[in-house]
Amino acid sequence: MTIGRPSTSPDDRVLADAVVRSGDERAFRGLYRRYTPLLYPFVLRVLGGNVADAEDVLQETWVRAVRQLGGFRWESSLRTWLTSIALNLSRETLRRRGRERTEELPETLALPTRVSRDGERVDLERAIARLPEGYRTVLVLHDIEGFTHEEISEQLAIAVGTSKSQLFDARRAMRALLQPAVERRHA
Amino acid sequence: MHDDDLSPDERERFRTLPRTLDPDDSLEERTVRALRSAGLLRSAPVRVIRFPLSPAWIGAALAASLAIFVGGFGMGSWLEARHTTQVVAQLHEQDATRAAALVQQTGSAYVSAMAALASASEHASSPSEVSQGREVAVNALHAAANQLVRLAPEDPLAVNILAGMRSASQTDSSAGNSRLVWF
Repeated sequence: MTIGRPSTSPDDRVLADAVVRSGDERAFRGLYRRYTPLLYPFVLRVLGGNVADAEDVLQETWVRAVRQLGGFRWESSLRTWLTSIALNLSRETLRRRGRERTEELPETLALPTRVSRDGERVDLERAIARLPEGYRTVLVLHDIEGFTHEEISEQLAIAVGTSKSQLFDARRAMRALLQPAVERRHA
Repeated sequence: MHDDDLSPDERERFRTLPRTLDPDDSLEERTVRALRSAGLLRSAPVRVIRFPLSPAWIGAALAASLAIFVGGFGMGSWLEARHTTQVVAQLHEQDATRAAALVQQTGSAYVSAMAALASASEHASSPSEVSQGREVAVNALHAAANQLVRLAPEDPLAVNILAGMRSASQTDSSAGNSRLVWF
């Protein structure tokens, strides 16, 4: 699934217009329920699994989005636009909280691990959460959300080459973090 | 080469990571409240329904009210009479996704509460309350580890947690320190 490409659902615009024109609460709830379940795991992963921060970011994402919705030109999908707002706010949160190099294991990891016995999935989520912020953001955008390096460079205001090298390093760091879990599983 | 570094196995693992997750329901209400207070949303208009106040209408309304009251009373009595096990059985029928989401939410709440307790313990005026809180937390952890072992009997982490707690409990008992904690 790719966030980075336009795939505007026909009635996104109808709902958005109702919100902009008359502050229609029902229309807003329609948009909220359509996109929040997609934005939430993305924000949680970028924030390393911190639920409280993720909820704050989501709330602020919607406030900012509704404020700016009138100026949205529909050149990308609404989801792409919301994702970029959520990403910016997540990065602001990380900067504010001084988590440039997250080393603590997020005990409140609330990422979706529907099959509890699927230890590999849990290990992978934990390894992603443990990555340093810059690596984690690029890895989540590219390997999970399906962004291209060009789109990442635009979102993060970095060079395409930087995005590629960050991803390369992120994958290497992730493998190193996963290695003990793999050895434990095979022991 | 930067772009194509993932092995097929790694690619598959990333592919199977869930892409959707519902946050707590309260977030929607919180967000709507924030938007309303910022003047960006208006509450849905309330429709005023005017009733004709004719004697026939009042009679019909009274009869309907009585029927609703009797029906509600009967339903309440029936619910009260239901056995608890039926309710528990219904709870068990909830699908695994909801159960997993519930574990995530309550797990986060547990850890947050523990963090608050740890923080409070640094300035605690009554150590006995902190100690009681700690015992409650250990009991909850023990109960959770039991369920984890039930879920994955060979999971070494859960087994080790239980073994460690059993060993600690025996030490406490032999020292005569055990206390009963009421929930």
